[in-house]
Amino acid sequence: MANTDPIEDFDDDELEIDKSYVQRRVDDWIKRLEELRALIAAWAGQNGWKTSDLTVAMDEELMQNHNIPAKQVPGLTLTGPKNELVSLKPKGLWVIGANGRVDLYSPKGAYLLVDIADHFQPAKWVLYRPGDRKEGQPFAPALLATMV
Amino acid sequence: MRDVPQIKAAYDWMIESYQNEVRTAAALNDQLAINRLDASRDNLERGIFVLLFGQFEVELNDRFKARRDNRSSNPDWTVRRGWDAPQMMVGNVGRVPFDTRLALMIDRLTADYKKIKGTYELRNHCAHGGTSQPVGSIDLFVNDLYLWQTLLRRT
Repeated sequence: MANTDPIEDFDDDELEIDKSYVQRRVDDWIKRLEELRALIAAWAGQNGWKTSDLTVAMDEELMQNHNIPAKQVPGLTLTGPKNELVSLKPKGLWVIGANGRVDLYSPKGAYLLVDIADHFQPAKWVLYRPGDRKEGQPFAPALLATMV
Repeated sequence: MRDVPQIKAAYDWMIESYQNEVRTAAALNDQLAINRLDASRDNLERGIFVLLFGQFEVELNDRFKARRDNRSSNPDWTVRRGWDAPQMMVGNVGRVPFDTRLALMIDRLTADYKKIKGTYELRNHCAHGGTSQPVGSIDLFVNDLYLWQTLLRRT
């Protein structure tokens, strides 16, 4: 019988959630974060923003349950043309209702990016500002300029 | 789903307080303050998630009950079959396992069924103090609930 775990939400009932699977999910998450960072950094360079890398500790419950060591995952700090600061910090991979979330903090408050793609698929990032009562927007780096 | 707008409005009202405080903390680059605010936000959102999922469950129960009562009273056994089994004919439909209620309303071979079932398990895990997972997005989750409601209405 498959080792199902309620934390691993809605995969196939027959999916074996073992250490190898959890490690693959972590590796995939880091890859998606690196791609996101590269996408944003490219836009920043073309639009007069400066970037500096930051890392955030990742040590989620499922990793602990399967004895996977904590990781440092990539985030980013951006400084706009007028010294506005936006920071992107990965919140977590195993979040309820999405395949990962990145939090953004800006002069206009907190935003979030959630990946709504299926597991192991190319990321589909959607941007929300909690409390805005608006539909999420497919993310494009140019939206960062609207946060300052 | 009757109370989803009110629950969402309450969340939006509370999160605006969080936004006011996080703007100040972000302007000062006060990471400790941001972390404290986020811890509170995580707890709030997990609670809201449980409340919101409860609204979907009420909708599921109501529609399941209506379908069960309709089918189980049909004189044609090919229509009645399964719906009038003793474990289905309970006054409180909540006593019929969630998986069963859901599988009779939404095709269990679909991705939607699996997502709803998985969310139900997370909801239970959350409600019993078992998870430290944050919610992805309450706004996204509310959209999902309305999509699932549409699925129930189609059956």
